[in-house]
Amino acid sequence: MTTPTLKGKRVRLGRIEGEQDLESWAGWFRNVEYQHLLDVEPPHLWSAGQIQAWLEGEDDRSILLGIRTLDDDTLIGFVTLETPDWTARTAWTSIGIGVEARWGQGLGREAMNLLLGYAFETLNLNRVSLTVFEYNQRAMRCYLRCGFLEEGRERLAIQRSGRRWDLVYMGILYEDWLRLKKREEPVISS
Amino acid sequence: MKDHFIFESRELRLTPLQIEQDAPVMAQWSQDLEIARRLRSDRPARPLSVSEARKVFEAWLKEVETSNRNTLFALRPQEDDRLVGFLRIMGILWLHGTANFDLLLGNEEDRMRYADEALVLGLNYAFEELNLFRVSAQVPEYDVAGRALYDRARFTLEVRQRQAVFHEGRTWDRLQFGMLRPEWEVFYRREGVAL
Repeated sequence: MTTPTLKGKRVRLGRIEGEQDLESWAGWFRNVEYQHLLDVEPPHLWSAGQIQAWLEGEDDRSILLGIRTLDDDTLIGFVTLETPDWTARTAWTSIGIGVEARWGQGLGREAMNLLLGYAFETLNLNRVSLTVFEYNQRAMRCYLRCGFLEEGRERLAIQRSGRRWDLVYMGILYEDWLRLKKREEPVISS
Repeated sequence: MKDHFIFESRELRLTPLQIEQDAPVMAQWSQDLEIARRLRSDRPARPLSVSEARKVFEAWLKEVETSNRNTLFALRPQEDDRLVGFLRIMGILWLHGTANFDLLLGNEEDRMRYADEALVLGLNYAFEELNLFRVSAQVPEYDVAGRALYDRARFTLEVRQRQAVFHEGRTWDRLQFGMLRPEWEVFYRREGVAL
């Protein structure tokens, strides 16, 4: 087993800081589709200053990391691990790619894989949970490929675009993740 | 004629929390580590002192007052002022018309006697007054009485989160039940669920 790292082939997970990061983050919200895919709250706009205040006020038990591309070190999104339960060894995750030109390129999947490695092998978690809107099929495919399983649906929990949609619950256990890694890693003969 | 007394049922009343009088009762309940776990799920479960119980209550009330996303009722019998439990409606999302029920009764005997009535009062309040579209409730797999309660109340089991709760030396699934407004209308308005 190799030591988990927060660096992948095309992206790395790192801190979010500095004016440029905050301006990028604020800019993503101008795309309402990004907000519809990400959050149950009504779409809203925040200034870089408000975002900074929010980041600084974040509960120090949750982890928020920026997703940066390796080729130009641009901040393109974020991942979180939230409300950890160190007794049950569980946490919730969320992810967003704010730069629409980067959607559908598998970068989110790479970032989520890095986050799962960190969650399981550095933090010793046993389970990572998430919810995803029924209409966000691209995200659901990404999570399935990362090894998440669908665990049920909160029926018609989301009101969007004039109709109701399910909130889909997904979860991945350490054993699921190990099984997937074993299948993906080439066999090394000694 | 419409019933104007929506906070009453045959044996039970929804009432405000009385911090000074209720805190010692809650501290006593928290000797039960399962109750202690549910009271402060983000910390290690341990019995609370009276002043810690008071702080939990103050935090609850503050959230009710500031967030506009929670309501909180203390459950008391019709016959006396004794505290038997809490019904909290949490995480209300007004845009989506959704919320979570957290129903907690302090001991086994009161659970048997009052849990069903508390749930019916809570559903009535959620759908008639808050105009919600759906409510959810989470129950750990090992809570057999809780699962039976939501089954009896005609909730639907919607989600099973594998190995999400730790209890008595091992992990268990967390179950989530849900009821939609149209289901409530059929079960409780037209068919009339008997208490």
